Amino acid sequence: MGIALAFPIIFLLIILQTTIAGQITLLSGSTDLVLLWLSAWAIQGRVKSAWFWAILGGVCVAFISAIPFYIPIISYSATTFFARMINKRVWQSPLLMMFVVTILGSLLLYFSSYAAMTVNGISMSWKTSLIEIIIPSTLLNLFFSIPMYAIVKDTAQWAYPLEVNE
Amino acid sequence: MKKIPARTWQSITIGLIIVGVLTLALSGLLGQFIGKAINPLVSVQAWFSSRVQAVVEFFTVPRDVASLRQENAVLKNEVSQLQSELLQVKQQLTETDILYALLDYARTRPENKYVAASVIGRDPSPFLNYIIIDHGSDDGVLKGMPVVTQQGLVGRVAAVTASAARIQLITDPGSIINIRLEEAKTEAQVTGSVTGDISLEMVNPSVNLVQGDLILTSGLGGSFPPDILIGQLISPQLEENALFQRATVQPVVDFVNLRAVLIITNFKPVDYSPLIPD
Repeated sequence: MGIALAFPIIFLLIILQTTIAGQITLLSGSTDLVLLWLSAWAIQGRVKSAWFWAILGGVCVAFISAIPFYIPIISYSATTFFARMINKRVWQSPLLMMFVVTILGSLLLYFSSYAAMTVNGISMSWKTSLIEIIIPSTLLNLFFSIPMYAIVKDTAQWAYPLEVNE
Repeated sequence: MKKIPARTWQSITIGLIIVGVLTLALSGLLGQFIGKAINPLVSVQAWFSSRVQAVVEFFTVPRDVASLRQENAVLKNEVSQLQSELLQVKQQLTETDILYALLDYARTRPENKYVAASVIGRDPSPFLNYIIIDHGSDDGVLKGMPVVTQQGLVGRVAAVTASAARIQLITDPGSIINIRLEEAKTEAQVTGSVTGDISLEMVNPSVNLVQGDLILTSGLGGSFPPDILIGQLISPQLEENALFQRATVQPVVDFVNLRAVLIITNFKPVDYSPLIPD
């Protein structure tokens, strides 16, 4: 069920990302809906297909975006790894866990994007990138992580209902 | 004396009454008399009628409210449908305006062949300024082709699939375009940035940069055709001991509200990679 659900939801998220979410900007930063969904999905204890979602999301974004293909795949996979790791430690406070994973995932995605583009010969001011893109995008991700967590939690409960032992 | 029978008295009485009534009717006093006699009846009738009307309304008015509500809902639905149609028409009108503007531009440059495409998305990465359009290699779009609007240069095709293409905007940090300044009669480069601003680079310090000077593609490098408008020079900056002058540029294209573009399909960018030494 979780794997079958991955395709329509990832495609829908990418459509929303390229059409609407990209227009909601803070300075030059924008939110990453795929990252938020994958973070929230991975911290749901009952979800068993988080790695598949991370790889699929990474591949789809790599196909759409002009960013080097390995950046979204590595970033989303690493975010899933963080989420899975943290899930076993601070499970009592899921929203706090969502914030931690969002911050870690966002910073990893944006710093790795900056590094990859610089290595590829694109000249970008470090200070401008930090102030105009990395920090605003991370803040926007934190802002949108709350509603995204609620949506993902409901979806996970629907996709993986708890078994009742009589 | 003969006794007058009772029947005769009755006849006389009836006759007198008839004569009296006729006299009253002819004299106009009968109406007043009848009015005075009927008034109490009319009052009773009115009282009874008002009570009956109240009872009838008690049963029928709730039905009227329900039917009015239903009718109101139908009308509201109709209004929302009409508003939706109006929005669609406005949208189509805007698209038509854009397409007419693009068509006018294409007519002014008959030497070029164009493919018009709609913008359907933007790159998910905030570091990059790319757009996605709804035409690809099936429509004759190839990598490297220049992209313009009626206002000026938009960018170039960076990647193509069968039905879509990704366009690198001139505001992208990886974009470098060879340009010429109309008034200053010199050549330089325009580069993009992560913030979406474009700036003029590599200008000889001896050149006198004039605010408002037009910036056009020079055609050098073979990536773009010459003489496509890019923008206007805003604020020249010459730092002491700097090798080159810089300036900020106001692009003519509104990249935020970009809805449709034209791809110049008969321009083939020059591939000079074999000339670059290993």
